Amino acid sequence: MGRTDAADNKGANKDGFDPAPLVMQARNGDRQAFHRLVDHYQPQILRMIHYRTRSRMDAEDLTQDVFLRAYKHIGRLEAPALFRSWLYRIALNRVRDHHRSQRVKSLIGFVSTASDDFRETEATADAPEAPERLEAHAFRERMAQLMESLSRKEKEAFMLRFFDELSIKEMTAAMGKNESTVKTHLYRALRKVKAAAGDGEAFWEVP
Amino acid sequence: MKNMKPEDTHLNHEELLLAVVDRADLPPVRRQHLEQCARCHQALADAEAGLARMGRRARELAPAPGRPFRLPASVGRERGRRWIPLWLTAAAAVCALFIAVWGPSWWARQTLPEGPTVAAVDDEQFFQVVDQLVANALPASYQGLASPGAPAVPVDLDAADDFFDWVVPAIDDDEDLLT
Ligand SMILES: [Zn+2]
Repeated sequence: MGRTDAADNKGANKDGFDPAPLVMQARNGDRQAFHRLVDHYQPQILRMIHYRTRSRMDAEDLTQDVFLRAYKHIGRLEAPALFRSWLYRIALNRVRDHHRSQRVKSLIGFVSTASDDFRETEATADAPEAPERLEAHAFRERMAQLMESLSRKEKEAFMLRFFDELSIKEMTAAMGKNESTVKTHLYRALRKVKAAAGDGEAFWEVP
Repeated sequence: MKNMKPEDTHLNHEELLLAVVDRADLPPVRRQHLEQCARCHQALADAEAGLARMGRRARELAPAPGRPFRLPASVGRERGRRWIPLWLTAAAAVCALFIAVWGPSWWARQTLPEGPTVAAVDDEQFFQVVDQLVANALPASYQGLASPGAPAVPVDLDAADDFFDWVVPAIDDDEDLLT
């Protein structure tokens, strides 16, 4: 196993939070235990969905839905230590459904959609201060440019690894793919991002 | 330069990216070079730091939750049977078949006055099969998940996807994530 997976077989996540005992309690109907899990994971699930929907309102709604579904189906989770990966798996599915419904709406003219993650839309115009907003805009544009040529799976692998900070092992569970497939997507993503960034010394640099 | 051995040359861009994904995937000779070469070590650290900075920036620009989540009083948990993965069903079927075919004759040999040598050979065969079944209860590639110290086995099986569906199921049964 590689460096990234050293801590994956333990229950505790990178931040030292071990969800397993709370998951077991929640499975037995302890709603307070589930709320403690939500309090811990809601910020990262909201961020994760926001990267992919670029809409704060949609991200809030989808996050609520992810936790509601997680509670309803928590009895299905066979590995409580992988609760975080499971949340990401549910969230990825919800984001995919969201994009599908957006595409349908755009076909019938209800909304307009940009297919790239991070590309700024009206929905992202929620930063109140101009300099911050400009900075956010520049960052999103840069990310959209760097990830333009990535396939959907490559983009997913790249974002899960570097934005959501999942380990390779967590990514396999979240994406439902084996380790070598996940690594292949990630490697290809890195090659394309590097090619898009050019040959400078600071090829990872972003605003 | 002509006589340079692989362990003497610096990591190229492809190798550097491979190391970013997982440095354990580098060939041993190149990994050894990485461990000993300050320049390559620094190049990898810079790439990883740049990517980490990119992720940190994305997280800083993302919003914090505006609505705390609380379960509606009416919401209950799903109660129902979990489906059993195909490989587990197959393993159970093999066990059942084995017991059905070999069980009676093995039991008969225990009770009939038969020569001790023949019985001992049968016992040995039986336990060999049982040992094999126990040792192979999980596909090799999954045994690392159950025992962290186990040697890594390359996972390139389609069955891995079924396994993840079982351990961390997609909760919409008709969906196949990211296909
Ligand atoms: Zn070197």
